[in-house]
Amino acid sequence: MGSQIDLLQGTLDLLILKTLVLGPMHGWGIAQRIQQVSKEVLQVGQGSLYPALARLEQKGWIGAEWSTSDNNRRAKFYSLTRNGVKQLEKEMGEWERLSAAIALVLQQS
Amino acid sequence: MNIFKRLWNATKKNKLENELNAEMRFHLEKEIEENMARGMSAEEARRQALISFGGVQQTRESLREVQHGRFWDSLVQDVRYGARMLRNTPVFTLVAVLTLALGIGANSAIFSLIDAVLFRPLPVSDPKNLVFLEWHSLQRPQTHSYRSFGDCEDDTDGPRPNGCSLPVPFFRDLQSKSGVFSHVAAYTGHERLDLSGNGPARIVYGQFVSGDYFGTLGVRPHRGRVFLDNDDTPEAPPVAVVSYAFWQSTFGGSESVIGKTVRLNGQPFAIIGVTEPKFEGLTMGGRNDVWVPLTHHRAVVPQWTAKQDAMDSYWLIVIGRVKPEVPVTQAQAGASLLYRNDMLEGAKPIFKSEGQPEIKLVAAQHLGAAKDQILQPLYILLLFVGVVLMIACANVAGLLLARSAVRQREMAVRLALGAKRGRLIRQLLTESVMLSAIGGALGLVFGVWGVRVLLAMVGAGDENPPQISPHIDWTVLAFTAGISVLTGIIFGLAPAFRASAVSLTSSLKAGGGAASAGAAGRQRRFTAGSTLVSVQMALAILVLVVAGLLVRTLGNLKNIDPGFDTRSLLLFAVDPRMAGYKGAHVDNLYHQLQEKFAALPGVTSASYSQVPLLIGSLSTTSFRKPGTPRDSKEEVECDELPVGPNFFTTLRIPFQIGRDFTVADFSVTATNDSEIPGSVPTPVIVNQFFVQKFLPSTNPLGQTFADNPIPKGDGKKDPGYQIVGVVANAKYSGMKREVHPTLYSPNASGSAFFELRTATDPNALIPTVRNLVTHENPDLALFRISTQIQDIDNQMTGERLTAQLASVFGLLALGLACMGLYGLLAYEVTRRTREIGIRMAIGAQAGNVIRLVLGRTMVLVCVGAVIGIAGSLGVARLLKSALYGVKAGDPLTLLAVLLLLGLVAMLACLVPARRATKVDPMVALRYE
Repeated sequence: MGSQIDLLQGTLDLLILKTLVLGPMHGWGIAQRIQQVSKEVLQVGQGSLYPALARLEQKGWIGAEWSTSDNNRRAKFYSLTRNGVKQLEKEMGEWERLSAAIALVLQQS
Repeated sequence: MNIFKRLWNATKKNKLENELNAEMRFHLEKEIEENMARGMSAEEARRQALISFGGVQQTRESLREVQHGRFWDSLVQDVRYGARMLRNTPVFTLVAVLTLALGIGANSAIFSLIDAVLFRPLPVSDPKNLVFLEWHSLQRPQTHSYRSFGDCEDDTDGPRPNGCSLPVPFFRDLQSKSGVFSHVAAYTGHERLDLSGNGPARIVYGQFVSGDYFGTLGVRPHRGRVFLDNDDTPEAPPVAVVSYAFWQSTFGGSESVIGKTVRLNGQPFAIIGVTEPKFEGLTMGGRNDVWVPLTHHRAVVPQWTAKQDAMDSYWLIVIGRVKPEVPVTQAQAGASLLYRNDMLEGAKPIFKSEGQPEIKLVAAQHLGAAKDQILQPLYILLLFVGVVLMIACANVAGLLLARSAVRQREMAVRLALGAKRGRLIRQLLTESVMLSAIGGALGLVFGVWGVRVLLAMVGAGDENPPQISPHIDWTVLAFTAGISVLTGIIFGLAPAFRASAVSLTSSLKAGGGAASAGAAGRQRRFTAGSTLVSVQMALAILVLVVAGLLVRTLGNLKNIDPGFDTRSLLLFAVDPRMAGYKGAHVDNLYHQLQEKFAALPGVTSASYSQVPLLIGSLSTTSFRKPGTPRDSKEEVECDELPVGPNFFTTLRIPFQIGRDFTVADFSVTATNDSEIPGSVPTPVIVNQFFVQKFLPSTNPLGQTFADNPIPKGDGKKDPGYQIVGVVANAKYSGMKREVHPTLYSPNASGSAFFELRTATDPNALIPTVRNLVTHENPDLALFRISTQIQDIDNQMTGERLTAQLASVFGLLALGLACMGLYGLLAYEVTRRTREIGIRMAIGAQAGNVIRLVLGRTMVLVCVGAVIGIAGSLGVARLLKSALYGVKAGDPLTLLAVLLLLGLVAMLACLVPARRATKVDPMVALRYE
């Protein structure tokens, strides 16, 4: 599976929000997507995924709806809300500033 | 997150749980599918999926935490765990719950009484906007007569006079002119009336009310109808409305009561209605049997001779409802304007304009002057039960502290497993609040029961007991719940902090638990426990000393010598004026009755006086100082009591010099009291104190002095007074009041209360007396029947109740404090078993061991005692008005309390101390 990196606290929320920009997705799909896009570096276990989804739902950044997936199975689909879009923009901005700052420090030495 | 959403989530827990499971299952299935797509066997795919999935239960837990909120979920958990802990230690739980139940129950009981007095529900519709009018001024009103019936504390003489009796013309003006009230009504009395025409004559209590009285209150009839405006007109036929209770008791609830005619003080009235059961009048403490239109007042109560329609006769209580659209301040200003106009601009102004008379509107709920009298002892008792509850708290805190040692290992394990300290404190606090909640629930039961006992004690032997009907309402429930939770937090906080502050390594390493806990922890815990013992002792002493002072007060009151023989004295009243007697016939009847009573077998002697002694009634008079020239303006004041023949012999007040009144004396007085006074001075008998104060160096017999004020020059002469006898000092209105200079005059006042000195039990004579009176005239009613002893007891009801309850609570406090002491010592001995064993093994004697165990505790008890005594000095000073004949630092009380406390504390120490000396060194050493 290659080497994996533990997600930083709080970054999972950002990744979920970013992933949902593509459209409604169920939990497993979100985990798979993050895994694929990060080239298997970022593994999202269900143990952190579902609590994170529940938290985002409570905050009103994502919405959830039961509907039918492929093979006619019922699954819970998550999608971005308008607040979620705003939050995503905010968090991306913050992330960019943070990573730029860290990069600056690391290049110095 | 929104707290409601969390609660909502918690309620639909099942649905969420199902969705959660479905979502997880879906995830797992997709994972398996994916694995199989990668070429794994079905079984392997499933295994791998489960491995990568991780702990399902953990996920559920953390999801639940997000969804229901951590707080509610862990609260449920805490409660469940707490319940298990309390079940596991039944003895501890029982003791703690009972202690708390006693403390909380006592508070609930007293509070429900205060609640019932303060927030008495008025038996009328929409009581909130019902007001009564209270006048205020900076000047004494120049009224010709002023009548009040205890509806409020009328004060016409103070620096800021005020009251709630008002004159008829003002009431009429208010009705017709003010425009701010939707309803205005007036009433007077809680008047004693002689009801005849329905079996033997009897005394009832009634009010005279304006036509729209019931309409204003919104009181509806239970049978028949209530008054309308036109019932209160002179030409209307006389009608009456009776109360439900009176209808039941006197007419047996018969339907035929409507239309029945009865006579009130001889005047016929047709009963037209029965009020709703809950309504017996507006004023607290005044239960009424009958209501009559105001217009009949003059005919029914002819003895009140004032000009009833005059502006300077204040005698009506005025109530009203402010129009909904008018603000209260505006209504008040409107009423004040009218009042000022009536009082200042009339032919005979009642106030000068600098008196600034005004009207205040007061919620009708506050009617009733008896309120403060009832509240004062209740506030004292609330203080008491408050302290008892504090002791109960300290006690349970002590128990929890001792237990925290036992639970140290549990705490250490939980900390080691990653529990945060705050979480542990919360867990422990949940347990203590659970304890106090159970205690509070049980306390409410105790409280309900306690209130019944209390009321039975107050009401015993009272002719017209205060109408308090405490019930468990929301205020009481909220109060109980509030103090329960507060209590739980107060007694739980310190032990919780202590218990959760464990040193991990030492606690976990030491296998034996309590006995070998870390040395530092032990020292600190002991300090906390010992502080609690000192606090409990101090509080117990505080309560006991105050209780002792109150008991001493009661004893002092009981031992007061009233100056006459109070035993075997039957008292009752007859008022012939109510049966239609007039003028000289009234006093003649009194004389005849007095002679007939005196001749009854079993009666030693009989007399009467204008008011009975020692029931709180008092009249005073002023006159020109005896021994000064007739034109001197020096006036003095003394108590005055008009009495009948043989009064001093009957009461056994000894004569010092001079003689008793003769028949001639009574006719002289009657003449002098009439429109045309005679020239012979009124003969009077004075008490010893009168002579000491006003005539110290002369022979008092034959001395004359003038009345004050001397009747103005309309041809009337002042015959003055002449002293014919001097008697020993005797108390007049009450036991507590010092003897004042007193003047006894022949009673020609028209009012009489009889006193019969009996050879045997006074109560046995009541039927004979009743027969005699009925035989004299069937319209005559006997009322206010009692013995002198009962009257004295009744006057002390408040003091007796306070003293008794204070003693009960004081002993309760002592008991609780000693339980706390015992608990601490017992714990101390258990904890130090090994140490004691070692000491004994190397030669310590029993005495040394006892000193070791008790020494420090005794110091603590003494410290507590000193603090308690100091505190009691302060508190007793606050209660000064409730004390009689004892001072705050009464040495006898202090000594008694200290002795009692020392004795009980010794007993509490005895068992643990003996156990300490019985420690077997071998067992103790093997113990761990």
